[in-house]
Amino acid sequence: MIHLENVIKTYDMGPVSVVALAGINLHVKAGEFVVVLGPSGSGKSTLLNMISALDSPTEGRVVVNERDVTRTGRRAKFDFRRKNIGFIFQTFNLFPTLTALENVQYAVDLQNGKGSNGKAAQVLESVGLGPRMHHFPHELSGGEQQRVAIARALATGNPILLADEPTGELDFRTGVQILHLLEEQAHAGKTVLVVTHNREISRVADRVIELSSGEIEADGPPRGGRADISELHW
Amino acid sequence: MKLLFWLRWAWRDLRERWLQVVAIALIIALGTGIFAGLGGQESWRLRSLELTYEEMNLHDLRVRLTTGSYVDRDEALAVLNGIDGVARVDPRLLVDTLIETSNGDETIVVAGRLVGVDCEAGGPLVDTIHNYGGRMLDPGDEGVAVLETKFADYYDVGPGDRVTLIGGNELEIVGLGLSPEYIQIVPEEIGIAVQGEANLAVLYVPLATTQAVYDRPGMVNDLRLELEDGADRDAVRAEVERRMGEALPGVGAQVTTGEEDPVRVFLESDAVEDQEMLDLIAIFFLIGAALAAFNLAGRIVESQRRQIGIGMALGAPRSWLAFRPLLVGLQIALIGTVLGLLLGLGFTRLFTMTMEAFMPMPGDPGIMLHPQSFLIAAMLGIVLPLLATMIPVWQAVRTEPLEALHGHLAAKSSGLNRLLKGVRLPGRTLAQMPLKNVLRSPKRTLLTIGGLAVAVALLFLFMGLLDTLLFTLEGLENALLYRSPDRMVVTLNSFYPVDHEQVRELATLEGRGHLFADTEPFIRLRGQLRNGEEAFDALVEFIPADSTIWVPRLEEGRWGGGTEVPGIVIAQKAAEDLGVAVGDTVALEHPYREGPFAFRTMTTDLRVTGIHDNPVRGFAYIPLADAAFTGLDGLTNALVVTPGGDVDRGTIRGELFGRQDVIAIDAVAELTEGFDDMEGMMIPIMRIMQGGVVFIAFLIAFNSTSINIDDRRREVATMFAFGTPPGAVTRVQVGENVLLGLFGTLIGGALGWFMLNEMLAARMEVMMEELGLLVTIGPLSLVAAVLLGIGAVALTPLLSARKLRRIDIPSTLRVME
Ligand SMILES: Nc1ncnc2c1ncn2[C@@H]1O[C@H](COP(=O)(O)OP(=O)(O)OP(=O)(O)O)[C@@H](O)[C@H]1O
Ligand SMILES: [Mg+2]
Repeated sequence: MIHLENVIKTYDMGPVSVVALAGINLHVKAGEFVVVLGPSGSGKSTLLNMISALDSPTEGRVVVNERDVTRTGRRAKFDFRRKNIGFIFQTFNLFPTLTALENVQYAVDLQNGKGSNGKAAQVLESVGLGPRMHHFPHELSGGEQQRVAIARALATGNPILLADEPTGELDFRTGVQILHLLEEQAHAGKTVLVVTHNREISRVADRVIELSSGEIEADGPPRGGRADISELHW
Repeated sequence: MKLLFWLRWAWRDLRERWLQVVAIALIIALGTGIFAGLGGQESWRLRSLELTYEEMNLHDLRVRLTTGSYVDRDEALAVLNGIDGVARVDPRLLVDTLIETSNGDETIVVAGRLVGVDCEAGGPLVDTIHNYGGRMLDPGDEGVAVLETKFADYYDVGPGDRVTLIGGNELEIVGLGLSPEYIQIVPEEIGIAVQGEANLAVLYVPLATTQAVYDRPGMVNDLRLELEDGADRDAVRAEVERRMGEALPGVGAQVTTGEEDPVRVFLESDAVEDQEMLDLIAIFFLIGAALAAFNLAGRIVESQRRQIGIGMALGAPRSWLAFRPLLVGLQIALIGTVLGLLLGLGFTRLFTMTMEAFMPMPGDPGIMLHPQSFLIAAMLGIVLPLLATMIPVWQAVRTEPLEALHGHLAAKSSGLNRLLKGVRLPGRTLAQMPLKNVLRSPKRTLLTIGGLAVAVALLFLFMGLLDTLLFTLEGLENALLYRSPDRMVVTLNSFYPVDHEQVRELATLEGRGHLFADTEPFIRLRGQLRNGEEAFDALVEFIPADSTIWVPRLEEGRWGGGTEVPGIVIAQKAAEDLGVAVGDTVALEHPYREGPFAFRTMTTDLRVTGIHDNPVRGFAYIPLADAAFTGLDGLTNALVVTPGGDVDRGTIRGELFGRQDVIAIDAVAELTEGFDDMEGMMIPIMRIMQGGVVFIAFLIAFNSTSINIDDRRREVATMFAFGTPPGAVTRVQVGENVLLGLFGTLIGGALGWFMLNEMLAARMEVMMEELGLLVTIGPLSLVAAVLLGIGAVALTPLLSARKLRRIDIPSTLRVME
């Protein structure tokens, strides 16, 4: 599903150049629940940007869903994201003038009417926000906003969910709920990548990719074994 | 902390939004520039006039005999020189006549005014002639003339050329000159409703030559008086009036002062009116700039809210927190104002050069900076935008620290969208976004709309001024030319009995067949219409009620008759100004004929029987049959004619030229052609101004759009992350701008219409009191306003489309709030 070949990303800052990714090789299968773990500045967000074609690597190849996204034009990248990726941000990034329902409807609309009426509401129900459907983002708590964001990502119907620090702004209990939601999506067949610098969170994943200074340090099941969400303590 | 540090910080804030900063600074610069550079327009022109009149020794008093009256020169001088306080009397013999001249390419037959001047003592010494080329008149000169310089320029006639007068007399042009009465050709001086420099040849001729050519030996009809220093002018004036009445009973004479000189009055009030107009325009620009600055400051403050909150949490005093955004406002104001003052210097130069080129006057004050205007402009340019910045800053530092820390309060509220809750809008969420964005922050939306409205209103105003003028002139043309559009008026040199052989002979002249298809004698007089305090000059025509050639079209009432009082038909504007309606009575001051060469002025009450459709106030018509009250019944001084078969104007002029009894041949159509010249001059000027307004409007529009885009960066990045195509995002912005533009145009249009009416009522009515203006906005102007207000505004997002595409999505998304 996701395939990275020797991906290098450097930022040229005048005389200095910052290496964000230093030759990443990675393969993620469909339906996997992957946590990307690493300290701040280790290149986690950069990695997601490569996969979502928000940014292109300096060297190497990124193939997602059999499409090489490194060598395509701008228009194709937009098209690619629209058909493949669902985003969840640390800071939610909901549209402030749209209600919860409308935020989700936005994603449905983006798929050219693929989803029928009621799909947005249905997805919102599934994340437990049925009763708050007509509230504006600023009328919702952080956790509720993040759930709207997840609903929005789900409503695209796209196979890949990318979540960059989705629990960063949230308290423990809420964070757990969010993780749980994401895990369910993986079980339902989506490929889910969750970025975090919290080792505890990584324990719920099938697979943990540890980044350090732009390199993969470890890749495999969580250290100390996979844990159930209910067993986590942050 | 160090000021330098703050300045640098604020400067960075500026650089971040340099496009908007430049746009606002430009608007400020234009406003202050116009204000500063053209603020001295009035003083310059008044000073120039003052210098001119000083140099030309403008008369202190002028004695003007009623048209048709003449007095013996020596007799008049004896009467006036005997008055205490009179230092010098300079006589004139003014004769209106046809002249013919040629510049080698074309023959010009045109109305002329011979100004016979006493040049025996090196004169004229009062109302002197300024030399614009060649030589002036010398003692003993005969058969020579100095030609008025503007006419000479227009037709390219000059020293060495010859002018033919009636009877074949020729004058040789020896020089080009200008005297104060003809600096501008005004109807009051010439007696014809509208005249341009091209339609009147003023010739300064030795007095004796004029008297000889026009068979008025020893006679004069105009006297210019210079008083001794310290003389009591009003007393002298009264004495002049008394002695003239005593010595020359039966001869009407009007005594006026130099300040009352119609050209002077016209030019002075023109300068004052122009100034008010220019100031108003500058103020509009500054208001536009202030709105824009307010808008931008609001944005900057908003984006710094969190930083302000942090500052508050750290315990920084409010003044510190307000300092940075205020500095931004100050810097924009300073940049704009400095630029504006420089622009002002340029405008001053440009203005002076334009005046010198197009209205050369003997008195040229040179480049004259008007420090007051620069000072006020600088103050307005700095204070208005700064005040505009202060409002949002003040609001921001007054919020509670916690609120500020949460940041983006406005952005996180849904604004008026609450109203839309539960309303099912058609279309997709993307399609609904424009409306929702507009409703999101009503205050900013209002500001943007306000800015657009000012721009559209300005455009409306300018377009409307021009449209109104053109529409009014079209009305004039329609009124004059609705019937017999090729008719001409042949003005006779005196009054003749209607059945006089000369008149009959004229009517039957041959020239390639019959010269005239039809002729009709009538009377044309200058007079004054009055009702109580209200009074203005009028050109009264006594025409046959059953004329087969032309009678005015009536909008109301009917043609005279039926009452014991003679009836008069006046213009709508005249009725308004006099405060009368059909059926009311007005007073007409008019010449009354006592005998040949002797007229006096008297006043007769007339009944208004109708309103004609000509917008020119001064045109009035009385049935010829009612002419008895002027002592002119049975007489005529003009013929209205229609050209015969294939006779054209030139042929008629050629045939009539040289006749002693004809002093002017005017085609009625030429009157409107004169307006076409004027339009030709005004339209480009107005168009340039409109261009400036469109530019400003565009800047305002651009400004508000780019602010919006900056504001929505995060949303745009999110949309992009989800793969929304950039085109769709731009469409949302276009949609939003269409809405803003629609409201802005509607409000601006209403505002513009209101201002147009106010302005025309308050200003143009004074500047062009002769014309009854029909306030109009033409369809083209409407289209232009809509194109700008909605079209251009809607398209501005396309300008930012590139910027949008270059947006750094990951880092925009990452921004913490
Ligand atoms: N636009 C950029 N310009 C320059 N350097 C950048 C840019 N974006 C990221 N970097 C650098 O690349 C490296 C990796 O950044 P990245 O955002 O991927 O880290 P991260 O693992 O997501 O960190 P965090 O946990 O703090 O979000 C960092 O050293 C960062 O400074
Ligand atoms: Mg990161």
